[in-house]
Amino acid sequence: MALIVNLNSLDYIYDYLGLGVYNFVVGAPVFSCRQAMTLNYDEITALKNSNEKIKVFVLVNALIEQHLLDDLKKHLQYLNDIKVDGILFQDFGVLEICRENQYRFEKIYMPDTLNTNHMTLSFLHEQGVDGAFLAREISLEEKKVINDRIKMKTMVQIHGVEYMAYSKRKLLTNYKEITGLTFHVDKKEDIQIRANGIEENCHIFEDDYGTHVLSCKQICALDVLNQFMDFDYLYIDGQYIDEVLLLEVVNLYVQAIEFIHNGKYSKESIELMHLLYRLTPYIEYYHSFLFDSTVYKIADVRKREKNEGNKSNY
Amino acid sequence: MKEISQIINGKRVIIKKPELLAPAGNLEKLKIAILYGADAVFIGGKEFSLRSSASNFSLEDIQEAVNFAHNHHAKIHVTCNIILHVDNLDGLEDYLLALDKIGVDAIIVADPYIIYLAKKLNLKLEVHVSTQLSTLNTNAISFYEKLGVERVVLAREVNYKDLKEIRENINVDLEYFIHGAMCIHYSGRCMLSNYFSRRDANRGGCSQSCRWYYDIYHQGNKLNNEEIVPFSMSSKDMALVDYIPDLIELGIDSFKIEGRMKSLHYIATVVSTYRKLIDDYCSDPDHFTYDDKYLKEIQKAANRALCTGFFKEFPNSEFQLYNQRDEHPTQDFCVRVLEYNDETKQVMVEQRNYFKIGDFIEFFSALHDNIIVEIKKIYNEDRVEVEVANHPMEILYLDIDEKLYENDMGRKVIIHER
Repeated sequence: MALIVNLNSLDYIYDYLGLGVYNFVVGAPVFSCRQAMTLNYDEITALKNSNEKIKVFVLVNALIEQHLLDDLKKHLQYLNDIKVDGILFQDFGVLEICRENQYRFEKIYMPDTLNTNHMTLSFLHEQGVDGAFLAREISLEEKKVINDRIKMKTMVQIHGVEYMAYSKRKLLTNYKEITGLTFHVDKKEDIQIRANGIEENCHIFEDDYGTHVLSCKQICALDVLNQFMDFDYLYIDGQYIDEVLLLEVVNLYVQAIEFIHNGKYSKESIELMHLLYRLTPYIEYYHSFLFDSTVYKIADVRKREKNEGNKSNY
Repeated sequence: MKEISQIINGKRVIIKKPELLAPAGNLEKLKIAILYGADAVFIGGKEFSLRSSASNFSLEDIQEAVNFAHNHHAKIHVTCNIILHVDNLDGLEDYLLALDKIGVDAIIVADPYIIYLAKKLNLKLEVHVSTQLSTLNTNAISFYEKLGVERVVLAREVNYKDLKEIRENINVDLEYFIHGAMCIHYSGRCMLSNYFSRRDANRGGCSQSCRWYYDIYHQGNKLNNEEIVPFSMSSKDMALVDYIPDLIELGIDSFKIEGRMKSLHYIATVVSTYRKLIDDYCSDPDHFTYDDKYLKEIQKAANRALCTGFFKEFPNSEFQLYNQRDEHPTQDFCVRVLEYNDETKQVMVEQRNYFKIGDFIEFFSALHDNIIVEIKKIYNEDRVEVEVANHPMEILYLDIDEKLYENDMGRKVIIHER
């Protein structure tokens, strides 16, 4: 088990290394979505070379349009040339190119929403997938079952904002067009939406690949971390959090792991949570789907509907 | 690439006619879809299918569907397009074997494990990759092709230019959406419903949270107010009526109409319109002139405003719905024809919606052009004259001179549109 951080700054890289954190996810200038920071090839190389223990995973998680395939092929070749340790992808076109070229880096399948059972992942392992980012929308119990039954590496999110949706459309630009409002649509502008009747805000922003929606509430597993020890990578998302605070949050998780190892976790985890709340009083934390479930069968859906107002346009 | 047209007797004709693939939520709709011109119909089973609100088919229903379809030289595709969770794995193998034994022509799948299982079981049925996998490029298609799939349903986000390049470089069958509702986000990648309603979008429980109204904030300040519409992520429906000739010339194998939850009237109208349009074009493509009658006909069944999706231009604000309910009310579907008596010139109909003497009804069919008649007399089942038809499913008789056919349908004409 190791922590992996969707890194939002290079300024504190030696602090992370000092904490014993060596696994980082970064974005590249192309084909990356929902990265906490973007590094060019030289910067990725420099990051890798800064310490021999560092493992750098690059987000190649855009869905790939046909006319971008040539650029994608060049990009994957560069990533292979600079010896990144892995990529996080969701388009099987990416996997296919990697297979054709026998790229050595780890190919972590991260479709955000689709990794929900062990049989599918075992099959994909045979197809050349080295690891899987398990869907956030399944319970911890389901994650454990999958983890126990597959031979590939598993990655689960333990902290940070969560992916909700990804559109090719420019949804904010379109809204500006219809309303005449003027505002910037990129991530740093902190645009949020809130559905009528739902007391829950979401981050929303646009980039070259479309519009992205993320939760404002952040998943936090600091108080239940002892249940995550069998997964390979525990993912901490650095989006929408201050650079120093991200380092502090990671530090809390490092401490939690130490407490788990020396048998003090059940006592100390409460204090760690208090520290987290003091560090980030403006962030609402929850367990997301870890101990919750979704419904889909019509009888169960109807029960849920009784508790819903009519929020639809139709 | 497969040959699309040939010169026969000095005239170019389309020899690679696309399959017209229609949706159906029950057996009645399925039969109408086929009678109105669908080459294939896609349906959902009780298990492993999205659209939990659609009245999905039992295995017995699927058997009847297959029998009916095959008797009419049509095919049945069954959606097995949920994303499998651990507790969905039980029963899957038996279900696939049952579908194959029934004679289902294809399954539409979104989970790679189902592809693997279907191929491992050596099923006769074809395996089609669902649009839920948001396939946009030839390398992704090659991945599926190597798994043995016979067809890929492309993402709705694929535009004409990309589609052309994909078609020119791929041999596997391609299916493309030509009509219906659109997810605003990439299909299979939207979790709004899961987060807001705890309803699993990828297993058929989608609450369509994208179509809700949202307040929008910029750095903490609310932007919408009484004068500025709330934010929404609701797409207009897609209708590629104008581009059917382009798609035929590209050699797309199957044209898909969305809407397993749509009405009988919708299915009959949309299927028959595209059927006529495809047939008209294929019979003499070089002398085909586009007529807006096709679009006008489609609009009679449209329950949302229409757009062209991503096909030719990138969707701007005009492709979305903002703070507006349906601006395109459908014409009332009011009767279904059961029988026409040539001697008495009386038609026996099944009432589906209110109408009265003096109303104009437009009859449409797979067999003839639309006919508009004024209703002058209505008789009930006892042949007693009545003024209004206000009992659902009641058997009625109408005096109509023009010949009608079983399964023709009638819709009430809004006077100002005549």
